[in-house]
Amino acid sequence: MTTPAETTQIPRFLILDTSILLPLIATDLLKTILQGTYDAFRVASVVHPAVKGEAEFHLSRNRKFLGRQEQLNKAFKKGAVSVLERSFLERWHSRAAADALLDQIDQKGERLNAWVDRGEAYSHAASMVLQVPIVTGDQRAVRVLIKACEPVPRPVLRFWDLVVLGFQCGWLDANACDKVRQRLREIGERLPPWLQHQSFQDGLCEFYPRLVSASHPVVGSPQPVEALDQDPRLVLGPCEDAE
Amino acid sequence: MLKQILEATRLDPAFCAEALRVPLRDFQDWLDQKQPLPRYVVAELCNILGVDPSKLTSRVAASNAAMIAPAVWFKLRDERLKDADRRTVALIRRLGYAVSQFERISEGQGSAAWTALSQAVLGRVDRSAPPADQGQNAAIAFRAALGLDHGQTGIGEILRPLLRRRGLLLIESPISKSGLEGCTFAVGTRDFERPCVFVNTFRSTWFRRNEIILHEVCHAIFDLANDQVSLDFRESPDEVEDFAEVRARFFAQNVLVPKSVLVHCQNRLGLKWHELTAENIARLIAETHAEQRTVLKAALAAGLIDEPLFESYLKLDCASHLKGLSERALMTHEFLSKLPQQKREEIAFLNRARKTSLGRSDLRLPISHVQRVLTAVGNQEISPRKGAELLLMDPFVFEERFRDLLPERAA
Repeated sequence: MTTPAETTQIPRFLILDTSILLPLIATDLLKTILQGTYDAFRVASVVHPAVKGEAEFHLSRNRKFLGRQEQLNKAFKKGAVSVLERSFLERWHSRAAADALLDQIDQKGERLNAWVDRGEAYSHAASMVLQVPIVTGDQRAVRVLIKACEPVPRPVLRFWDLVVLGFQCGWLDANACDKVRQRLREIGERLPPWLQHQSFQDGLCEFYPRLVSASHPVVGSPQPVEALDQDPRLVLGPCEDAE
Repeated sequence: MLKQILEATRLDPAFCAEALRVPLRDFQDWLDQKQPLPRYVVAELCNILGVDPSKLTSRVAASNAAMIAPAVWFKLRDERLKDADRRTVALIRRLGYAVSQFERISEGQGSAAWTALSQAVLGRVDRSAPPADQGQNAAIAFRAALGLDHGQTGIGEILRPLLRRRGLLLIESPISKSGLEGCTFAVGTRDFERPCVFVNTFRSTWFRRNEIILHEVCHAIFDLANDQVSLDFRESPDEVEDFAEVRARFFAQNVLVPKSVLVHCQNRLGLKWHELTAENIARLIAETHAEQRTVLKAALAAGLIDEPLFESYLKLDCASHLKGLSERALMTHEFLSKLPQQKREEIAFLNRARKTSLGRSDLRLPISHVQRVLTAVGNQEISPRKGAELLLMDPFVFEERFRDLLPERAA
């Protein structure tokens, strides 16, 4: 495969799906990764209200996530993650424009819900309407939408793109990343092929990160590994006022 | 208005929140109008409650229950119904919404096939005739429309797939300790509306359920346009049958056991109607796929037996003979014990696959729906989590249950 182009057009925010929120919570990475991304690059993390509700629903009833509801509540309170609503969009748009965008997202989300589950549908709808990247743990849903000829904005970011960014920026060391891998295995989450039979450090060379920092040494595979790795990856530069 | 509608339906907010997969706190905020009802739940909630979206989001309070109870739930306030019955109806309505959603992208039958069948039957019935005549003529038209008029054997084995292919949503599931035998109502979105027939399998035989299904089908054809739901309870000796019930009874009997089928059985089995034994009757049941009382009523109506013979044949105990003649008469464990190991495992998998639950309510999904959804997931036409939604399952349960059938995740 050829080396794809890179994009340095930094998005204002990333849309997170339930399939990312829950593993971030289960591995205690919610604050580290999302706050880190904002502090270093001024890239916010936002969820559609459907995703907020879905995440809270699963946190309250699924044994995998018992006792972790408070993590999500704190993340919202402290602004590590925001809800996609009018007040959020009014940072960049007028009220009328914000309402119009939310209406478009609702319409599109209702349509996409024919192929993917509700949270995923509205997350992808928000990503498409607002032209910002989505972070999703459900790559099968991405394949379904692409197969249905939906214009999924690229790159599509994954859970391990966030973790590897954290590793690249020094928020997490290799040991911490390996503990993430172990924790996911403990709660029955499927691991990607590059982590199934080897440690994080050993497998990293087989992973092509789609989200990288411009001011830290590159990590991971220098060449794309999967088909969707061919899309331009997101390169985050430091903000002038970043901590 | 949502709060009042919910009170009118007698559905519990906690149940509704779980049905919608939202936190109870959020649902309570919508009920109390602390937060507006978000668009992402409106369609699904409207389908469960059977109301128009504009009514759901209205802030105008109605003065009494009669003004706000959606038609389908108004009738479900019947005192003979328990909370478990209402929860099951709500679950089924949610399933109906899922089926309609799925049909938008799959090649499902939609409601056109059912409409054609209904019209074929209604067009052959004089609506001014007595109910028994209407039922009988409708049965003739129904059998002709489904191509059953040429065969003279029992239709029990092909009835369900035939009806489902015509767009009927048929659910057979147990509600324990319920007097409800069957009910019919419309489900689905406006452009994909179809009738749903529910049959309670609790303490019911397959033979009995064949009749209940057809009884409800008659209601679906004749009565659904004017009456949003029809309810049928286990027979109460004091109950007086109304017009629609008589028509439905004759319809079911004549679809299942028309005279031609009885005569065919007579010739094939060498039966003498005036001296039937318990074993003879068991054979009739096994051949016609109708229960004892129905077979004998049909024979009486066809003039093959008289009233005294009917009464004496009704008292004959055919159960032990029937078990040797039809697998459908066996209890589940008896049936499974006769099968080879691999087949037992296949059936066990299918039984696990089709079971879903919400709180205290269980539902047995139609196998054809489960299979279509799993195929769509396997072909990457829908995502696995969408598959879970369509099967009313928790996505983690779905993932665990069908792990071996799901496409591999990417990194």
